[in-house]
Amino acid sequence: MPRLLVFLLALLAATADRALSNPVVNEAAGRVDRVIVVHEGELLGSESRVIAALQKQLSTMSSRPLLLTEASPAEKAAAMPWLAASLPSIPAAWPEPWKDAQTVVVLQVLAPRGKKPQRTSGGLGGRLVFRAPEKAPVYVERIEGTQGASLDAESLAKWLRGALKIAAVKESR
Amino acid sequence: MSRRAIVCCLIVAASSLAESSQAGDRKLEIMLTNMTPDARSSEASKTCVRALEEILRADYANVQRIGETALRKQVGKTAGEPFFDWPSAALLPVKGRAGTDVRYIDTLILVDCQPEAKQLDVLVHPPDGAVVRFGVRSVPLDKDTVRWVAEAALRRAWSGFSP
Repeated sequence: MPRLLVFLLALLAATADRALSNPVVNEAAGRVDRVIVVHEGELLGSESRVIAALQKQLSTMSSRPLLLTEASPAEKAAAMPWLAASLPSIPAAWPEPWKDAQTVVVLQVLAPRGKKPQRTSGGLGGRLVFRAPEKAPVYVERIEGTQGASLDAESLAKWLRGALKIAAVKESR
Repeated sequence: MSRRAIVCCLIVAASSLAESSQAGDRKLEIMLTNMTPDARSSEASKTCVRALEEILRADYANVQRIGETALRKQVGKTAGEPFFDWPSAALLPVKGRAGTDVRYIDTLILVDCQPEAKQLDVLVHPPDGAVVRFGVRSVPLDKDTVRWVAEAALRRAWSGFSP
């Protein structure tokens, strides 16, 4: 019995470790909505906790599968110019992982401030909403500076519901 | 009235005075400018800006308006430069001398709303000076969308606020 308990705890820990990198649901055939987290270096524990809390709420937000992942290098390269100070030229193609997506939402977590072990979160930076098939975002929120808004799962979830709703408007009209 | 009653009244009065003089409670002072170009301004555009203003005002904020011409003079950008690119430093002087009856403006919010073009730009210069720019394109600017953007802008508008 204790051995079974240890096994179950180990399984639980392994699942928690992979929570951010794995999709919240299996990719279904057809369109999905994606939430991409862009950040510099490693997320702080407190930041990962907020993202994990947000992930728990995703299943109630969209009629399509909604996937939350950390940005791959290609996704980061596609998103960063829109989050930077000057408006970029529209890319010819989306990153490969976005090609099956109806809506792509990008959340930027700014680089932590200070040095280990006293780093503090840089907070929420910019946000983007892309709507297929348009290559330019329908929503850009860009911050000038190095300190963002406080990361909070509840307000992020509320904002995300709105983002998915406005991105879906064109489809229903 | 007995001496004891007078003493009680004085204690109550003193304690209420002490409460009213406590620091730390004031509304956010917002200065709002409608930057929609005259040629593209319409009743829908004005309604959009008013809706945004109402949402800001409802969150414990005083909202005052300043005209685009007056703002541009204070910023030193009178040649029609697009406001969306104005840096934080350019807007900072406006907060200290807005020519209004408040001593200091916490947050500047500049709005260009063009529902006909499905285009909304908002610039927020919060108390900590970290400017945030919001741009919406190709989305119908109905009440829900304006509210969604206004709430995001409002969250940034309080950044660095200290009563």
